[in-house]
Amino acid sequence: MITDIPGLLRALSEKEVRFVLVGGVAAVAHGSARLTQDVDVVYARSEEDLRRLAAALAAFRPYPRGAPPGLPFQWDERTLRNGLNFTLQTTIGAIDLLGEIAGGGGYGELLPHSSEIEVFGLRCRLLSLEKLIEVKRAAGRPKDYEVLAELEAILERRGGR
Amino acid sequence: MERRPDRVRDPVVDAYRPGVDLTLIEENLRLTVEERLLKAMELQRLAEELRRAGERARP
Repeated sequence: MITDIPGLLRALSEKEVRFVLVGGVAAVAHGSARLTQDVDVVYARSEEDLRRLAAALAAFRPYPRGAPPGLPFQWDERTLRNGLNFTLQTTIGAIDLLGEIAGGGGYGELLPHSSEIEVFGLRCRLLSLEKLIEVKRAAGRPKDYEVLAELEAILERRGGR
Repeated sequence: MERRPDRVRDPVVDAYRPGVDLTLIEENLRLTVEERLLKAMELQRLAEELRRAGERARP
């Protein structure tokens, strides 16, 4: 299934969910040439944000990605409140909703390391390349080594170092 | 403007540097963010088509 990146961003933006774009899509936005299959966002966790987030994605029937069908999974603000990070499949693609990320913390901590961008006629916040590199380093996953090498090359091309 | 800390060199990450295709990066940096995201979706579509073709080709 092709992840509808504009569709997911539009769903979140229209309900005024506060989030920062991170992960593979953020890397692509910064210039990465790597294939990415899902949209990763760090979302704000106030009661109002949880309510908005639940409403934003409800129409797209979120369900835990890779889980067998028929689980008693209920998509609502209570589920969001009781959990933190959700890897979900929706009818318009895969999305990871992250309450926190290693090396970066939550929405409030990432906000100063993000900037507003305009894409597909929407405004959303994108994690800075420098912070993206930092959190990928902190994650310490072997699969990120190649990505890190690419992101560092992009930073150098942009005159970062 | 975010302050950029001195780069912490990681020999493991550095080992992957020769494999980074700089021509692709240069090409992407000439695009707008929106164009980069649309290109990523095209890549996804291509990967999905190849996956399906592979499935069909299996005996």
